[in-house]
Amino acid sequence: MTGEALLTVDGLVTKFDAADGVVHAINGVSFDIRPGETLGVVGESGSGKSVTMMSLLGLIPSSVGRIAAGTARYRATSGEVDLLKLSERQFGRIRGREIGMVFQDPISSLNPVMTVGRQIAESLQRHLGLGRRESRSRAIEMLARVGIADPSHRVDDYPHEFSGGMRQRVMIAIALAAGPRLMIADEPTTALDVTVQAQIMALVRELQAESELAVIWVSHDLGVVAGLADRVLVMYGGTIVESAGVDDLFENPQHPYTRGLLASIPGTGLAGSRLASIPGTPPSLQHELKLCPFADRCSHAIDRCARERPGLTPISADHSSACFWDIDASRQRDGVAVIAQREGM
Amino acid sequence: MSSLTDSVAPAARSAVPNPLARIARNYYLRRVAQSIALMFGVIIIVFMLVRLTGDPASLMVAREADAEQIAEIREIYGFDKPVVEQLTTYLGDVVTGDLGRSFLYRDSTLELIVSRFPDTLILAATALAFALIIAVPLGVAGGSNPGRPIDKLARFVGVLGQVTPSFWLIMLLIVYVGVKWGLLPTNGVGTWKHLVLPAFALSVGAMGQFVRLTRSAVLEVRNEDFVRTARSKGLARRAVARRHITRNALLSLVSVVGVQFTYMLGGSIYIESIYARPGLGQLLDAAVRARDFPLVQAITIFIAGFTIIMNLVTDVLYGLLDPRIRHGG
Ligand SMILES: Nc1ncnc2c1ncn2[C@@H]1O[C@H](COP(=O)(O)OP(=O)(O)OP(=O)(O)O)[C@@H](O)[C@H]1O
Ligand code: SF4
Ligand SMILES: [Mg+2]
Repeated sequence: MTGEALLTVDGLVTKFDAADGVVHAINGVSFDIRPGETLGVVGESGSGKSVTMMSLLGLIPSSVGRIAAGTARYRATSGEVDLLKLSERQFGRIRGREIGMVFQDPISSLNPVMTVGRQIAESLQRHLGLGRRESRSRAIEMLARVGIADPSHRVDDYPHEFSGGMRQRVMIAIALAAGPRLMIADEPTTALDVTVQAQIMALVRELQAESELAVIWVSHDLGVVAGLADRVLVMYGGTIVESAGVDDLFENPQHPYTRGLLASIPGTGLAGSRLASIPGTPPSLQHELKLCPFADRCSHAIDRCARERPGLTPISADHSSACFWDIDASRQRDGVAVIAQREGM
Repeated sequence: MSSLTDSVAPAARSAVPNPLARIARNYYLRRVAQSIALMFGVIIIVFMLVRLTGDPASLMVAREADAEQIAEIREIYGFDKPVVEQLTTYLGDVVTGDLGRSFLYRDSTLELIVSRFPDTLILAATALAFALIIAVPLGVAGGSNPGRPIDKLARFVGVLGQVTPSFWLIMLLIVYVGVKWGLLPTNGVGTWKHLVLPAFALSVGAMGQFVRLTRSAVLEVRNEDFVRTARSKGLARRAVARRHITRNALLSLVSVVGVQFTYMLGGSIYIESIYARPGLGQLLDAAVRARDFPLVQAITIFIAGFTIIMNLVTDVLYGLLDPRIRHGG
């Protein structure tokens, strides 16, 4: 987990052109991830977790949205690329080959009329240039690797013949077939029950132990993130409000939103705890973000919170927060960058 | 049928080699069994309809026929026997391929049908081919490029096919393509040229429906999660379109194609009369005019049987293309 970052995202801005105006979905997101590292991403519904990940893989349809700013430097095997500037053609060599993606709903995410073997083989044929026979036997190997019993028979089965958890294993096999170095999993266990969820998490840990696979794991579930991640990003209103090592985050949360999240978890451990129960509603994304997105709901808010927008600022080594207020010291924090402010104030 | 499978406990399913249960579990066998049952139902209904509307013998003869003639017919066709006996005799005949004798042609109705049917089948099949060859690529291209000129064309053809009255189109085709420009023959059979006008006229309605259906199916499938998965694998746009979008979109076309094909057989009745093609439609037309009851009845049963077989073929095809159906999902 040491060394150079595999992916460095800087100032990502993604907007949608909806019928009733622009939706400012992602308002400057920056983070990085190193080889072999697991990065947990949490945040309530609509905070921009999925849009961030889709933006990185060029999966936002140009008919509905666009990436307005930012860079995402990825150290591909063939040299460094900026994911935010690739053409659809160039993405063909990144998706699947360099970055694999696993989605939330394993039944709708698999083609119902294609055998799982062929769905895995497609990636192998595309990226590794394997023929039919070779890719088939590699697909069987992949199924075995993700823990599907009797893989040489199951390879010819269709998605509906698998249980929910097994389907998600198949999804992981597809995502990892061509040997990517980064796997982005967008709420991969949300649709699964707790036991199956634990099995999938164990599987990913095993797979990571075998290689230097870096994983971005998006989740609603703080318990899942606590058990899996090395580092955690907390998202709110299309921004990252806090970023820290997993232990640091849970023991010493700095941002009022993160504290609210952790406080809302009942005392008996973290497992299964969903983000919820902070009074108020998520911010409107109709306008460009020029104040703290949490200002409406924050019990620590001060005057400037509604005028200026705090940037993600380092507090200690590998711990950053985007907040003007130091809760523990009960005073304004020094040196917090102001990255936007409302005009005429 | 499905309630039969559902009620069998899982343990019993594998333990008891009950042939009935096996038929009920196998999608194809189940459909064949259903089709056979349906065919018998149709035959019985046609049989009863003839008897319910009164004395068939009096319907079969000319209005001015006397009682003696009617009695003779009654005897020839066995209408004087008890209904149940008539039915069993009739079912026995049908099963052995005897659909009765035509009054008009003094010949086996089945032979008449068999001699005329290929022509109708070729007409309907050509019409279906026209419709598919134009509609599927157009619908796929339109659905894949919403809002673009090709999509506007697809939508236009879709609506046009639906609203064009076929009698008007037929006249237009005969007047211009046939007579004024003299490009294609307007009646009779013989060469492929004779087939073009009637087949095109017959295909237009289905073509419109196929375009609209294909287009909307492609639009829908494009947004499916598994298409996003396919893209996230790094597949080229064309591979995603062909293997994931089009294939799934065309699934919804299969059942409609089967239905349209049987409609086309029905539509061939008037198309054949207009273009003077001696097919099944024309035979039926002649039979109705001549009150040739056995022939009308035989054609009805034949077309019903063909429709049932078409439905069966459609379902089998569906099962082959969609594993969820094959596995009884
Ligand atoms: N196609 C779109 N058009 C307009 N707005 C969109 C579109 N897709 C997403 N958004 C908006 O972007 C914001 C972020 O959505 P996103 O799906 O990233 O949230 P999320 O954090 O993944 O939430 P969840 O936990 O529910 O998955 C939301 O406010 C959403 O309404
Ligand atoms: S900047 Fe102000 S409003 Fe925002 S979280 Fe900090 S204290 Fe609350
Ligand atoms: Mg999401």
